[in-house]
Amino acid sequence: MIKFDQVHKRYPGNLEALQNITFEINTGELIFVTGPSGAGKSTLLKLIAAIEPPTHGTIIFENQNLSQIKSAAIPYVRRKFGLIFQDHKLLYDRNCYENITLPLEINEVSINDIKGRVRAALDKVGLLNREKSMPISLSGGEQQRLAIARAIACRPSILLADEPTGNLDKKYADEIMNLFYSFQELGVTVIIATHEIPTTSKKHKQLYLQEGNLTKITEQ
Amino acid sequence: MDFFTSHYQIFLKALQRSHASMLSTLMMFLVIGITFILPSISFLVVQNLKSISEAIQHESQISIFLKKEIPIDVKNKIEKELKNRSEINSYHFVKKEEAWPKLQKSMGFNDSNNGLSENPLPDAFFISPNTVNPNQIADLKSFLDKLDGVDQVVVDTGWVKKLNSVLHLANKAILLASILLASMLVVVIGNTIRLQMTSHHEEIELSKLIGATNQFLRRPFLYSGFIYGLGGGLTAAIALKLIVIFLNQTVVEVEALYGAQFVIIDLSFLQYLSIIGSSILIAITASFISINQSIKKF
Repeated sequence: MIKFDQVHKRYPGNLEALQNITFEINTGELIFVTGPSGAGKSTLLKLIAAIEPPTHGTIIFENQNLSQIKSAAIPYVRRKFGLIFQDHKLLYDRNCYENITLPLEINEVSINDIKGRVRAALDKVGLLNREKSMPISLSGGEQQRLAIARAIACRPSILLADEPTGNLDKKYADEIMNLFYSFQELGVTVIIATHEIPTTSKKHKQLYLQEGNLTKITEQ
Repeated sequence: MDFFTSHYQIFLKALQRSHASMLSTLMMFLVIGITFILPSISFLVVQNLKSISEAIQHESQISIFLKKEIPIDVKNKIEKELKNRSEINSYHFVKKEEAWPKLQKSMGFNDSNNGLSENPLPDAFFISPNTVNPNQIADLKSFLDKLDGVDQVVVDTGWVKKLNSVLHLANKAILLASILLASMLVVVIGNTIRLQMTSHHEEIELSKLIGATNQFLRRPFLYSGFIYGLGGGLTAAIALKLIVIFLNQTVVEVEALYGAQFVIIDLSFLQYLSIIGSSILIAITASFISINQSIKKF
């Protein structure tokens, strides 16, 4: 499904974020990308979602070479991912319902379907009773769940989460991780960048990054 | 979502945005409206001056000096031709016997000191044409020149040419002013749209990250530009109509005082439509330029 082959990423200023990264991710897998801060975890997710282009190497996603993709095609690739950001990136001038409609509008979902999809996504993350609430009135955990609801509203086949529990206490972090596990059980490929691997009995693959190098790949 | 539904939804959103910032939207309508009113009023003034000049032109004259000692039937034939010409508003005939004493009187001469043994003046027709069009007057002169019994045709078109050149210059000045004002509008609207985009930068950044195309991002701001253009154009059209109605009411009072007949010429329906259309076109163009420049930054 996703294949990295000798991928390098260098940011302006000769900052080498990733070097010679090679791995493969199959459909329905649960992946943890781990490593200390500055190891290149977020950059790796950005490369997967076509938010950043690689400097060298090849990234294949669904038989499409993202290294050579035309800029006009990039939005359509990004739509295939559900993105969850560490800082949530919620729109604080819109309520929960309206936050979730944005990706549905981008994906040109019909007006008749939007309401059902939004409510289903809110229901899935346990926020159905908060659809009219403004994000600012939600707790940190609820805000992250809202961000997850937004990511799953378009029913993506891959979820990419960058430090989704970074700012949460253990109780809320466990809730969020359990949500990800439930999506993976439905066949969604879940890729989570985290500096701390949660204890889980779920079968998963771990990519360990250090200073931009993929030092270890383990499966449990 | 089909094409029209999607556009309709985005248009509604742009309307909601404009409604949410009602004061700045109304200010923009006013700015665009006033910018369009200025050249439009100048255009109206020129149109009305043209109409006035056409009314006054009846006082201009073409003088036809006849050959000496022509038979009366030739003179009658010339008169008949003058009657049949549609470009001639009126004419009158002056016999040389009537003209000579008048000329002498105006010059301060008399029969004893003028140094002339006989009346040097010919019989003459004096014509008031009903056009200021130089081509039509030239055609009329050419026709009159060819009439049997006509010695010389003198056309007093100097002032007509001067007036036409002034009106022509005024038209060019209006065109230049319109271009300058349109450029100013492009800058003002473009800047407003840029500020709108800046205030929605979080939404734009997020939308790009989750797969929005540039077309998708452009649409609401293009519709904002369309709303500004439509509102501004309508403001200009309504204000102009009110100005013309007001001026015509004032003219009625002048008519009553002076007994003259004069009506302010209004713009045609098509001209009103073209004001609204131009306003929309300028606003959309300004928005498009601004959006394309701003979108690269996100």
